[in-house]
Amino acid sequence: MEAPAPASNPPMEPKRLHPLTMVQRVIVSLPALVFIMLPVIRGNGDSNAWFNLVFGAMYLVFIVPWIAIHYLRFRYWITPDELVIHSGVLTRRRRNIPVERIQNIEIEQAPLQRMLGTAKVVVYTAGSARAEGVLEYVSLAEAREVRTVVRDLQQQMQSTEPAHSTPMDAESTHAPIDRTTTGTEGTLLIALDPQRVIMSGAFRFSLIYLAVIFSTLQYIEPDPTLLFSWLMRGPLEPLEARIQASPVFAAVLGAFGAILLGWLTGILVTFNRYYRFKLERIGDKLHSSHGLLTLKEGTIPLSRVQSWILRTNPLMEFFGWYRLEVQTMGINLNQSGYQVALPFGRREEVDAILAAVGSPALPEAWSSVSRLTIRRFMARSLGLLLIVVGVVQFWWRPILWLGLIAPLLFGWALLRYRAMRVADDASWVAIRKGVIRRLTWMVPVEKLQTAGWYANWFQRRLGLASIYVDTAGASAGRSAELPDIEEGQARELITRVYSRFRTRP
Amino acid sequence: MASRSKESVIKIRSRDTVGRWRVQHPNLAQNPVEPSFSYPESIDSTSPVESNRPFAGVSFDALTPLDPSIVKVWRLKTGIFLGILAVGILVWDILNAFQADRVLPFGVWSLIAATLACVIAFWLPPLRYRYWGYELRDEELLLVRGIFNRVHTIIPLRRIQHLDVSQDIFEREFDVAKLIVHTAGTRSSDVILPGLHQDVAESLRDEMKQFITDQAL
Repeated sequence: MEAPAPASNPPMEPKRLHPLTMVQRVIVSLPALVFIMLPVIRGNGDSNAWFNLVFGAMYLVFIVPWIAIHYLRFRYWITPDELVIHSGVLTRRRRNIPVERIQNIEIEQAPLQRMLGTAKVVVYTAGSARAEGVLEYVSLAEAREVRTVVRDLQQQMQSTEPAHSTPMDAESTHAPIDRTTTGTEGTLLIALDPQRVIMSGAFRFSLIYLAVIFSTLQYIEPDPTLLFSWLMRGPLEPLEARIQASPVFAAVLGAFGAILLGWLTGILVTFNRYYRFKLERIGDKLHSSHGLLTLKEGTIPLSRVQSWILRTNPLMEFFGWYRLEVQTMGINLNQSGYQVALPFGRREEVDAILAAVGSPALPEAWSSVSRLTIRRFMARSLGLLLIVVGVVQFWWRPILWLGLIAPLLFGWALLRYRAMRVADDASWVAIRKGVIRRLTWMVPVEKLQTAGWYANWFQRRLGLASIYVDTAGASAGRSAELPDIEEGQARELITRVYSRFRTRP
Repeated sequence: MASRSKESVIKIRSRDTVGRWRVQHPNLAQNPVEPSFSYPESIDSTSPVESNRPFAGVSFDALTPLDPSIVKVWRLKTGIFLGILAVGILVWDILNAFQADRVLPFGVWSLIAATLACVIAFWLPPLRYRYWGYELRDEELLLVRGIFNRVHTIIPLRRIQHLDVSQDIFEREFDVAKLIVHTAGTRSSDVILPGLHQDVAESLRDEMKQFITDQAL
């Protein structure tokens, strides 16, 4: 029953995972065991220790066989049409993933897998944002072979697509096995050196990592005062005295410390993630690999790129740095439909990548939106401010000071107006906006899904309209939209873009 | 358009220029569906002139209106929704009927709520109907709608993933249906075209169905 259909002459026999998978799963489950056994290990000798010991024994009795059975049950193979995965201990699952639907195959190696020479293969398909198939773990060579076989099969499909009736001859179905190394050669588009990655981290200040650190600390539960005096020993002792003397000084130092820590962890996390970042073009796919502890390899089929997104912030832009992302269908949900094509690079490098994948040059002439957008923004934000202040001041008078931000709002409106740009030519629609998070959407005209313009009552009074260009897989909050273009221009722009779309195949 | 012939079997009511409905016999020559704007010069040198139909100057009169029965459906739905709210206010009114410090005598708030509900339920649906229009062209579906927020949507027919025709109990009573157009996009992954006569919805679906291609994204 496990054998594939005999007629299709499979290029791959049903295979098991790498035997070391069992070892890895046991290792991964150990922390849980340690947690259960914690009282026993500490040897406090309280009465619960025996209970925990029994619990631990039960854990071993159940989990270890479970891991073994899971390993024995797990089979996968590739037929010319499908990737088939049979798995499950109690609930048996048979999953068939059509090869032509596979969008991306990611190979991931965490430190443990790197030690053991295994890897995790994650298969993403169009139409579902989460991983469709996961092989954890196979040997690295096997992981690469799975990718190569799938890629070759997809290429064969594309070449046989026009003539639907031509069956695949036996030779071509067998070919992928022998060509395990095909496709590993490609053109290198960009590689980042460690200095560049560190610099990229320096721009990536985030307090999230800090929060993670503190929540972990809470889990371990060190005594904060002890920790503090341990930190402040030796030459820092006079500092400790001053901190305890003045609360203001302590607050300033605390904030400074938090920022410094956030900055440093940002650098470390980025360094870990993008260490030795490399982007290659292999055939019609982009191939990226990066990571210090956990190695990640991903592929982006160029034909499935929906749009390109250029991201920067005022500080990065000042120094001329950008980040290039690719929006595709069915990519990892954690990255919300976006894959990083270049984490940190110059504008020329971005242009070079775009040129290397055969995209035409970006439009040069950017046009601003209507200046009336400042008026609309002011009307909206001042109205809101007036309502909030007007209501709250009945209970709490000091809220009136909030009125002082009105001039700041005007400044913001001005910056917002200056950031909003749109450009289009025969092959692109590009939309740029954002004061702090500066995003530029570059949508190839042929990737348009729907387009349109809309105007609310106030916009209509000012003769303005917002435009949008929808692409497949764009996340809801971050689609290519631009408000407050002069209405006639908005209509003209969308008509122009759409009529170009119509002429595309 | 020859493909629209199925509509002519159905009794079509359409709006005149003032916005009132007029009942039109299918055999009459004038077809309200025909767009009233002209084809201008080519906008882009790469696009063929004959397929280049603009969206500028699209007015509601030039678009196909919805089936007038939808007004009744909307009135019913808004009426029921607002009616429930009004009943809520009535309950509150009854509960507070014997409070010493009440500002208005019993029944005033309920009366105001009921009147408002009636006025809105009567007055809003025709307005919604007035500002709803669609047009099926040879390569795209154009939707224009909205009283306050006026939205123009262009759906290229070859981007359609699948089509649904759906009816709720109120719509079933009046023989209207809504056509739901699914695309792979996010912002308008399902575009709803409400208030079509059931036969029109089905013929539209069949007409648009042939454009669905299973191209990979």
